[in-house]
Amino acid sequence: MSEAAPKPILEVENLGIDYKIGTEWKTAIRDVSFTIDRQETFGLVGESGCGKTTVAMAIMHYLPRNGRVSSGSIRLAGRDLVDLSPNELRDVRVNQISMVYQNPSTALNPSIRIGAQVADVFELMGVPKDERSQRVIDILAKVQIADPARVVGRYPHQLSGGMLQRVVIAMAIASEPTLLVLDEPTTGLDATVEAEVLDLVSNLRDDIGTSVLYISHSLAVIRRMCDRVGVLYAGRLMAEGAAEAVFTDPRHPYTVGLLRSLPSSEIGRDEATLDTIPGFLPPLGADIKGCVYADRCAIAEDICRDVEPDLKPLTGNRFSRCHFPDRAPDLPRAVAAEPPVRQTETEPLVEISNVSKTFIQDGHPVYALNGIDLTIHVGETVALVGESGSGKTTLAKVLLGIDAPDEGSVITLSGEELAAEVRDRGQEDVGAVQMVFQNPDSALNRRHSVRRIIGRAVRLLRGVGRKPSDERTRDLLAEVRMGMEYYNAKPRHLSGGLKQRVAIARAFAGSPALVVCDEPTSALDVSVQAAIINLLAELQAEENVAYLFISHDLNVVRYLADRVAVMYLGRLMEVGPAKRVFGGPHHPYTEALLSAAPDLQEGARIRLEGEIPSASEPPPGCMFQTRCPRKIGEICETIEPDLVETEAGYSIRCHIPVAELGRLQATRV
Amino acid sequence: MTVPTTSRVQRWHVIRRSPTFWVGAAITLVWVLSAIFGDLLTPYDPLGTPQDVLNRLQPPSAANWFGTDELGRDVLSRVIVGARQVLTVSLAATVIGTILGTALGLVVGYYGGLVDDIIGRILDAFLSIPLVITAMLALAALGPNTFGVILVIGLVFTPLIAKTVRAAVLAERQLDYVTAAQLLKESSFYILFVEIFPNVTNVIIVEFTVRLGYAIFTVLALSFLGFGLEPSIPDWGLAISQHYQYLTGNIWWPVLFPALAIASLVVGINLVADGIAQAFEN
Repeated sequence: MSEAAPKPILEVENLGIDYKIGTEWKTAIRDVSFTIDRQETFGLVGESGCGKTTVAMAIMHYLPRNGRVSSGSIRLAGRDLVDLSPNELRDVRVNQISMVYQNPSTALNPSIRIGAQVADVFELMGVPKDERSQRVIDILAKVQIADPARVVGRYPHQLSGGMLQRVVIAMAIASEPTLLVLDEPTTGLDATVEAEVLDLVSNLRDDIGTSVLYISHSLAVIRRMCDRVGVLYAGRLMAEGAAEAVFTDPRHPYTVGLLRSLPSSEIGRDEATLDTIPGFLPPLGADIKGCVYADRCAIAEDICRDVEPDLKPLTGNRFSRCHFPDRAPDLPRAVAAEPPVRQTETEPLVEISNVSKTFIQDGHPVYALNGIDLTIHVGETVALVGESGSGKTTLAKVLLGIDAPDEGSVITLSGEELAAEVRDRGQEDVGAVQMVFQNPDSALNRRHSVRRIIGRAVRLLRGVGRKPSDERTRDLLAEVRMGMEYYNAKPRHLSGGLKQRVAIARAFAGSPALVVCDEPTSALDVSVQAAIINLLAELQAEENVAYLFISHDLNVVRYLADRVAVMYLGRLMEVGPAKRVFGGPHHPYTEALLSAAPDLQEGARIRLEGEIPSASEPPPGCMFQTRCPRKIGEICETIEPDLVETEAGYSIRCHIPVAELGRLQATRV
Repeated sequence: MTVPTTSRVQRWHVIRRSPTFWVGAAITLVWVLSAIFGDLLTPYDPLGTPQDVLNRLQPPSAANWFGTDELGRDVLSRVIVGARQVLTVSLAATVIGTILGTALGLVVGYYGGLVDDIIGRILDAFLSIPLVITAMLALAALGPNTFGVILVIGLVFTPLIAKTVRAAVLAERQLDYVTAAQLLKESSFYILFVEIFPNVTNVIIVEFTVRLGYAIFTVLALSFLGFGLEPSIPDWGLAISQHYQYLTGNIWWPVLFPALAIASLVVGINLVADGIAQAFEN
């Protein structure tokens, strides 16, 4: 390729893509145009169903059989990609474009060793056989796999998700492609691992000088990774421009709505509700005359419903598909900002003392929980944070009576001891502790109607007959802000957010005192997530219920939680008021979690290396010493620190005195 | 994880547009009609009359399209009426096998652990003996009778169906709605039969149609071997076993036509099973 040409690497022009559903072709993508320059990272962001992946698939020529490019062109370095012969296509895929998918465990063949799979790429590139194994080692080293010589002999199931994604990235960059397409490469990874992978991708991009198309639903990740972004909605590019401009000074009501739906670190749930986007994404191929967003837009006027706006250029090299881009920043709120008023009580509700849980796996003990002490007060939200494998879900299961804890563990509810297993608990206790699940699709029985799902819970938890239970079911539907039209609906007729509302209604059927929320919003889109968080906050104010809130998303935790408990390898590392834990000085592990969280604000970060050790072979001394960036020496490796209450209501498990931690962490900024 | 949410309407849509299903359904329907209305369709009395013997082993002709058998009975009439016996017996056997297999599969899949280990091993041991041999041994002990055939084939199918249902239940048990039911302190019986069962019916329906094809084959194989059905009732398997020695004398019709009947019915049922499986499995 010529050196001088400042021509864009990828040019997508007026792209239209249809899917054949039944016998009809329906428009999925319409009139999408963007370009990616050499060494530039372009982000496509949008909620599920907006068409992000469809665009990537069209570029890769991977559209499913029922999909077709109906109009427009895609050019890579001047070469048209839409009408390629199979041989040309092969050449483009081997040498010019690579793609990394969301789920690394399905991207690799489970029965072939890592080395052989990576070597395949070099074989395709025509690298002679005797050079391949060295090239494999080199490329694995390049993606910062610590011991490549050992990893080549492994099978995919023997590696963690983060390692697998590195391997997939290694395969993608092996040919030093002109364009790298990344489709949600870090979704499903822990925040600490995500942070590492994101760092890796940015370094590699600078290193090999490739252009990147980065696709994600996460505004924060896109903001961090991309030079320019395009916001997709219902198959249309709604806004485009420099990432900085699009996110700090949005000029499309949809972008404004999305940004307002995100919990930020400044505002807590007692200060303001989160704003939401009303309504739903139009169905695929819907015949809309005007702006596709008009139905959900608070500033829409008659012209918006009649005439579809063009993607108009605005100042500062950005574009907005809106008739009134200048009014977008003043979009009225969809929900009142006034937060629900809460009662303030400090009476203890649930006291967890010395709770341990040891599983036996293949004859070896796995210490999932170790001496947990935690109090949850009436009406408060306690957040449990930590990486996967830290024991959060096990603690929830023990509390709920799904798993029985070890001997000597005591859990009391309002001062009375709670039976270890749910089947030994009385009706009142069963109703008092309930749960909202992460995945609303799997939480509802798809063969049962909404009425039956909620009604059954009401009958069991309140011990009432059919008639009063129907009444209560209707009340509950109203409480979760669902209309009566859903009373007899089956789950498949409901969107993800509505399903989650039904699941919440079920948890509230028996007037619970404590609801365990296990990542209740992580499977939902941004705007839906905001509505569910608002609902949880409102219900908490109305019912004075306490939440044990498990989440990876520290911004959500920061918004909703009164107190935070940080877990690592089955231990509590730090417990205290949310403001105190987040404000610092914090435990080195909390510090690492915080700096791993992608945020719309940039900040200095410390990085964790490696992965959480196995709970069957916990390290000696402090659990965190193997990865701790602030390890002080031998004491960390030999003596496990106690969880010490250093100030009222705040405890920390670290050998470093709090004042010293504060001094160390202050220098970070 | 995405949970399949194919609705009844979509499923019917797939079935309706499946040529496989329609060809199979047409063939099957012919035999079902023969089974129900056979007596009205037969040109001659399938059981024959004493004078028929004078007319034995006549090749196909205008009077007897499929020829006559060793007792001079009309082969066509016996083929038409023969559908009744095989269809009722295999249907009954498959129903028994499906009910028992589903119950066993639900329990084993839900409880898992030791229950799964013990019952699973017993089922495996059972499965390792060839199906027809198991059935023959049992029938030899029971003595030949129609009810015995139904029961034995039903029991032989039970572990096969149980294995399939168990696998489906294992997948369902991981889903959160089961945990939600446990948190409401639902009984295991309720969770199994009201929560999980409706979600595995697809698998059971597919398994049922597949097994029905095998059942037909097994019933006929047993009657060919002389086990089971009463000799007075027209039966395809028995007809073949009674006449195959004549094949050397170039008398092919008393064997070929029942054999074609068997083949077409088995193929028909299997095509229906394929069509249903396509609709239920996507």
